[in-house]
Amino acid sequence: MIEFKNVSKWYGDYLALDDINATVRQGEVLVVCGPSGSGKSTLIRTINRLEPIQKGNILVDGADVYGGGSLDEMRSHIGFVFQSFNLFPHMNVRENLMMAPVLLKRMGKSQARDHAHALLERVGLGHKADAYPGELSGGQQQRVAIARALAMKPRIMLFDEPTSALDPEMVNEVLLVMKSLAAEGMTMVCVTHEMNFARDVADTVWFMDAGRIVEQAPPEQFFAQAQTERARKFLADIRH
Amino acid sequence: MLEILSDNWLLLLVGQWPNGPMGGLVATVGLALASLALAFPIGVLLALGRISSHKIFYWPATAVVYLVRGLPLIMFIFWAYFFLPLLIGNSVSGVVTMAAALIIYEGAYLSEIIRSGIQALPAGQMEAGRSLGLSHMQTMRKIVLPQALYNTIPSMLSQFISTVKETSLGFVISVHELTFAAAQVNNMLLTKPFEVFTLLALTYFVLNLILTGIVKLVEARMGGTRTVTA
Amino acid sequence: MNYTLDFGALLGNGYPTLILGGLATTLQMTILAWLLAFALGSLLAVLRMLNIRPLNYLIMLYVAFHRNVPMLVHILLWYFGVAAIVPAAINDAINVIGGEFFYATVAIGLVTSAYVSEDLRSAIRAIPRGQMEAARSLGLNYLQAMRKVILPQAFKISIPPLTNQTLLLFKNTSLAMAIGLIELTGAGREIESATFKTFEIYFVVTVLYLAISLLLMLAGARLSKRVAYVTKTR
Repeated sequence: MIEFKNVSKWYGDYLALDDINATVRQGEVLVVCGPSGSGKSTLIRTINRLEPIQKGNILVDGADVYGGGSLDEMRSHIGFVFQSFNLFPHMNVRENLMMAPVLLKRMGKSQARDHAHALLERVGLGHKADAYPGELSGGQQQRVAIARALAMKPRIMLFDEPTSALDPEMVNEVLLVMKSLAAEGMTMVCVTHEMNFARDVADTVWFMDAGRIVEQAPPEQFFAQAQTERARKFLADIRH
Repeated sequence: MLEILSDNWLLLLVGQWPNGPMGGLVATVGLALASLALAFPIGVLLALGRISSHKIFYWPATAVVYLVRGLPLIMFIFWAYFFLPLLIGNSVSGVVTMAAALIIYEGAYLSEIIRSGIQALPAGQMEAGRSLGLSHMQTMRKIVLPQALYNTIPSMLSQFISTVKETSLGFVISVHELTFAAAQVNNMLLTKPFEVFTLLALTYFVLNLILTGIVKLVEARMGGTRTVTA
Repeated sequence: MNYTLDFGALLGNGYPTLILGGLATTLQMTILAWLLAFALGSLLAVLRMLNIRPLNYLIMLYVAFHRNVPMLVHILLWYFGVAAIVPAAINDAINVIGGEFFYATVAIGLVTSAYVSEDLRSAIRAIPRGQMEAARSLGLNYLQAMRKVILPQAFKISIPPLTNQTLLLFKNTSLAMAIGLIELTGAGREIESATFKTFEIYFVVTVLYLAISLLLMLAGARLSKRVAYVTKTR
């Protein structure tokens, strides 16, 4: 579903991604973790080209993201959930969800409205359709953000540290939504520090350090017996 | 245009001095400097009045500031033209009238800059001063104002550039500044108004670009402390 | 002070009509110049976002020229300078609505447009990057993202500085009296030279300016409040 082929990225002289070669299968739930500065956020942001790469190819569903095709079209099939939610503050929740499908002509207005309501029910916020983002808590905003991404019926969902900006008591409500998505077979890539989520739901864990994927393993194996010294240190640090 | 410049540069620079009052570009910059300098203490007083909790200071200061914000400068100048001779008992020259109007006008704008500067300081500064036993005024004088005034230097320098532009209104009451000098040149040449006034515009343009450059340098050397003007 | 107040003297001889006419002229100039300033300012702001180098330099030059040269000088340049080099046919057409009115309005409109474009640019740049990223991630192209997400928010943020610009524009119309246009200040001066009741007529003119200024400031504050939304997360 997602293929990284010899992907390298520089910020000026600084090498952020170092010759990444990896694949994500359809239906796979992938968690990417690592110390800060390891390149994990950069990696996920190159998938829908929020950050450009200088070398290599990234293929999503067979299409080269950096090739000739319409980038906007490709992006509309990839859902992206941001650490800082990035809901549109000048629109209410329903409008946030409806705007893209209607504007990009994926659905008619009434169909989009029904679809939006169904998604809001699904994330537990059906009663907040008329609210504005500023009136919602962080956890609620992030659930709306997930619904907004789902409104475009994407084939892949990317999560960039979705719970890192939330107060601890709101982390769970977001993780529950993500777990239900995984259970339905959505292809998901999650950059996160929530190791319990990885343990419960992920099919694979990628551990990154200094721009390279240092380990790729199923979560049971990774958490019990990490292969590399760096991974072991990381796991020890986050367990204090 | 170069010809007009080379023929008339002295008039544009200093007006009719020494055969008349100082004029031209020198008068423009001098008038702006003097007015802003004298407006400064007024600005500080008005700012303190605006943040005062004593109504007797707050209302007059607020009234002055709203008056200035609501009234065109040129009306201020006409008011000064009318009032000053009555106050002083003698006729008053155009330049003094202009300066008086500018001092009040700029004083009000400076007071808004200074007020923002004071309010931008963390409340902890005043609290710390009072906790040490200093009075409100002492804290203002020793702790708050020095910091606020320093932080707002770039904005005040920008206000100087505005003042330079405002001196051009002296033209309307025949003050011998740069615009008036250019008009004199135009009256002499008669057939080249476009060139004369373009030259005038370019002179202000270059002057203010240089001043803006100085402001940016000062800002950079201050570590980029920028204050929002009112 | 040797002065006896006599407001009654202002009521005769068509003076009220003159003042009201001046006020009307001031308001007409304000509205027309504002439309010019806002339309041109928005266009310049959007063009700058395209990031085409030579175009950016041109716009920066336009803005610098109009901001660094005094408003009065712009008016003089247009009325005395440009009018002198414009072909006679165009001047005749302009004189139908009045050369003073036309050139002063154009000058004030252009200068204000420079400030408006910078205020809009600041507002656009104040929108967090994440907003554009979120819009593009959904599949919107650049123009769609600007139209639906960025510009609506930018306009709301720019209401306070734009209110300020409107107020300044309104006050700047008084400069047109320097080229002989009988707007509010000009009308005041006419009546002053006819009646010598300087205080009374200046008082009336001042009250009118203050009233409208205050209205503008209040309207701006109301508008700002109405379109405000909470941007911070609870």
